[in-house]
Amino acid sequence: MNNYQFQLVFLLHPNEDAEQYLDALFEAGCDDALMSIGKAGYLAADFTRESITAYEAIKTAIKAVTDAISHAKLIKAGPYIANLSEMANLFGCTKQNLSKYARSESPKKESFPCPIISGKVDYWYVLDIASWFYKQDKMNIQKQDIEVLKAIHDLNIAIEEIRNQYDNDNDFLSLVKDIAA
Amino acid sequence: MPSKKHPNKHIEEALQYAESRGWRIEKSSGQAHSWGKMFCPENSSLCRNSLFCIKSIWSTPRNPQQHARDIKRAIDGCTMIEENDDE
Repeated sequence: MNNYQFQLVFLLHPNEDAEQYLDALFEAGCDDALMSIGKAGYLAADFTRESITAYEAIKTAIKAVTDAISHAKLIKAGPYIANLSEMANLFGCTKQNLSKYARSESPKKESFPCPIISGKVDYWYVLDIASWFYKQDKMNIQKQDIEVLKAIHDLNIAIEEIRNQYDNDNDFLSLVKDIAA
Repeated sequence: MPSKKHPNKHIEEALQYAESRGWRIEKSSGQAHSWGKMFCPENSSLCRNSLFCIKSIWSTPRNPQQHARDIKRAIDGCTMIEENDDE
């Protein structure tokens, strides 16, 4: 059994206070999650769930929430996209330490992954950064960390696909099929 | 100090850490499983739409030590505090 840490964010009815569902969430098995209820109409659950696989942990966690709140809609999962500050908190290191890796260029090593959003603050896929450190045996990243980040990454893509309802005739799909990295 | 202490010493310690970082602790009434709530001092809509500014604390979480660790991690994860550190 491994401990998997992940966050699920749900949309409730507009302006609905999630506090009324706390007892139901506990009884449905969310007693291994820290619930955030600061915004009406939303619920965020930070799980630390013991399970055989990351997929099983996430699947049972989603079910526990929707058992308690049948109309809850899953809108995103994390850790997925983050800046260096957020990843430092996640990996238990300083932001300065992460910046050092992000800036350094070494011809011997695979270069630091490219941010997916560049601006005043850059954002990366957490999976990319964690995998990069895992390959180099740094930041004490374990196999199960990569496993849960991959599952969360795939889950977000699935949510996006359903939201956007891509069809197979999408012109861009065929355009990027052979050239996208 | 919280007006009433959490019965688990690990969680109580995490709540004291929360208070030392400016969070306000409020004991619930009339809830079977939610011991109370904690409120972020920043409470800003600029920080992840303020969703994470109020957290619920369980009376009897599955693993109290882990719940205490999760509470501390959440406090350290406040993006407003980190942004302030940057400037």
